[in-house]
Amino acid sequence: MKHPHSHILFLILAVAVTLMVIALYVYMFYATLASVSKADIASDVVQTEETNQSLARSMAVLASSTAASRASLESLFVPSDEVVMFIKTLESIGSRSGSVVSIASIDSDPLTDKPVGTIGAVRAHVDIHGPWTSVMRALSLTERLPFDVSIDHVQLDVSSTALKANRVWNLSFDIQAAMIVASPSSTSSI
Amino acid sequence: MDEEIHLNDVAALKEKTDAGVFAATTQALSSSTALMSVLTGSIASGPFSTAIANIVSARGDIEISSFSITQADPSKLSLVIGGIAPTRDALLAFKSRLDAIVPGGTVTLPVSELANDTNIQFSIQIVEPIL
Repeated sequence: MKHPHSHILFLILAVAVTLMVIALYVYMFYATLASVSKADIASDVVQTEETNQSLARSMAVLASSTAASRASLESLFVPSDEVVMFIKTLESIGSRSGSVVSIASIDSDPLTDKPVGTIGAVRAHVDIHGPWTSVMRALSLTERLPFDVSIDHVQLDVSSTALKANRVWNLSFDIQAAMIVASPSSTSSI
Repeated sequence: MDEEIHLNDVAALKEKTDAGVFAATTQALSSSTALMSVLTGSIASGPFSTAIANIVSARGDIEISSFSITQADPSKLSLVIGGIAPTRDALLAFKSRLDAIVPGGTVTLPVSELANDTNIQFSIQIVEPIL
């Protein structure tokens, strides 16, 4: 028994090493857990980003494939700087139907200096006179104008007591056409 | 390590995204949607000439002298027809024909219009759904 306390020293050392190993194990366990959690979150972010990009590509394809159709939508609106063209189109119904067309009043939303794509309306009150067939043709032509038009307050009555074949009919109605501030390239000259 | 790889992937994906093109596409589609909403709202605009033609085709020996038509709401036309009927029976027959050509609508002929037996000046109101 040269060194009666040496085994106690070794025991203390062994306990200390064991505690250190346990502490290291616990630290590594939680560090790995945190890293796995962050990796999961990053993986979700990647998947979301890939889904978003896929949707963006689908939207781009949709936009590209419908470009021509969407461009023609604007042609159904009266360009805000071509209201005179709309008036002339209305007046031309007279010669095309054999009736007398007059525009009693007209006004439009103020779209001057508004950005391209702003939508408004042009409104008019129209009087039409003529034989029955001409007046009805004029009404039908008005309903089929190549613009987005809506008609209301239609009044139609006979204005004379002449023989049935010679009777003159009076037609009046309100008409409203959708108007747009068109992009410079899409407007055509009158 | 995995986390770093994923974050690098995200950065690479974001670099590939052309934000300008995406914004332009969104803008173009939004503009078209706005135009479509305006056009869709007026599709149901009253087919007035068709309504008048249908009534005229049902007039028989009735003499019609006036029409007044308004779009009561986006789905209905309100019509008032004025004219002269040679007899009471002819007027009632006209109303029956109108009932037949306005399915789902209403045809109103006030009883007071039937006081006279001949040369009856009448006014009939029709509320017709727009199909």
